[in-house]
Amino acid sequence: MTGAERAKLSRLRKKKRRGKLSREEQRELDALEGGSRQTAEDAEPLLQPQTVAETPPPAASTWAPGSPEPSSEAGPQPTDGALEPEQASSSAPPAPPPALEAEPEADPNAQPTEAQLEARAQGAQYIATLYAGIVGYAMGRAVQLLDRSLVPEPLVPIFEPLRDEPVRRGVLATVRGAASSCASRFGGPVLEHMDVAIVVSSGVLSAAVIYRAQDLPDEQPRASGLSPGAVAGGAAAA
Amino acid sequence: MNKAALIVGAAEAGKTTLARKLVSEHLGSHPQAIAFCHDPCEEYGPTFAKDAEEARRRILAAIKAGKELPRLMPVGGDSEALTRLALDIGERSNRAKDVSRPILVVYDEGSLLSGSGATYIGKKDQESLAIRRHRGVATIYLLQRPKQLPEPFWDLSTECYLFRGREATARKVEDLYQLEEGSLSAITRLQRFQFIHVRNNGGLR
Repeated sequence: MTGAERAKLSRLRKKKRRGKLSREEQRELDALEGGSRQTAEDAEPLLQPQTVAETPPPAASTWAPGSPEPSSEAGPQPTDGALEPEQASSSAPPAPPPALEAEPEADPNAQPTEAQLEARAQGAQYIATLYAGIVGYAMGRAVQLLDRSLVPEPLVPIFEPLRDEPVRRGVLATVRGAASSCASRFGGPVLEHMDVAIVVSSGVLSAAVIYRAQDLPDEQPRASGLSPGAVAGGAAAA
Repeated sequence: MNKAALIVGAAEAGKTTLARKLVSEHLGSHPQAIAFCHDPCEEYGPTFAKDAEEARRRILAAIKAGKELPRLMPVGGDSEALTRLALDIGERSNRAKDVSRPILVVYDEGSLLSGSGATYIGKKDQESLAIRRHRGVATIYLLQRPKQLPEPFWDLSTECYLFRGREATARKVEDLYQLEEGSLSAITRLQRFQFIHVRNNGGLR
């Protein structure tokens, strides 16, 4: 299930709980739930209550922080300097994982190896995590600035949809799906493409407005003066 | 080291008891594993350091002197500073495919993420969640109500342990993990120390 489908599933379930689901939406919900439903019966084995007993404290054991750390991957060697307070308080972004080893020239007819497929899956998961974190941070900061009236008036219509929790969740799901697709396309851990993260996060606001526009009936006037067509066109341009 | 677990339940339901058990399991899982517990109330054992800066000084001193330290380290003070310390140790010790020192950080409910508000993640908290796998850092958060953590934490969580709680808590977690409505209603009938373990299938895939 893609991120967009999960967002739609969540939206339809909310409408169902409020009793506002149309027949067409009920059919869409049934179709989506057919692939993802976790019924109470299906979940029963997983959701059996367990009991935690008081356990004795872990046996006293020690570690040697100064011991050399084995590293089988290429990349920067661990140093004690990594723990120095000056470096620790730096605001630099996290170092990327070690670069992939150079691969032989690609055979256009060759199938990806299992290792390559696994690397792509790991890369997609990593990228999706990173993007979700960046986007979540950006959205939160935007709402903060809006609450403090620090957003210039012309930009308020762009930030305003982010006040809505379903919008924020929908955007995160959309970004996660897009990030996974992006990483899969590049093939493997792709932190050298951090500029893509910046582009995605700057597109968050456009995505938020699109999401909100999709949620509103067509005949409802837009307070900001933005029509769905204008929003979609703006997003396409972004 | 993909664990980003949430333990949710009313006061005195057994959250800290479970957290201590998970810490024991983590330390037993790998001979080099270590655990930090943000523990202003000394619920995990004698305090290792009053804050993360003192912990950092003690670790640096141990490196220089070639000495060893306890593998379980309860720390007080600012939780974001503790996150920073755990990530630095992870950066020093681990790589994405070579986690030689699994690190677990437990955040008690009272400490929650001093850099976070209701709608955004503090920078180090976000960094911790985003790069935890590549730093070999697992996290456990203890909370009484789901809303104590913003939604990005729930989206990025791997699982949730639910203790006795209200119906509203059950609905909220069902919503966050996209479960069938009513599937978690049993939490209102749980006894003390009983919990339900739910995995976030809608998480990172």
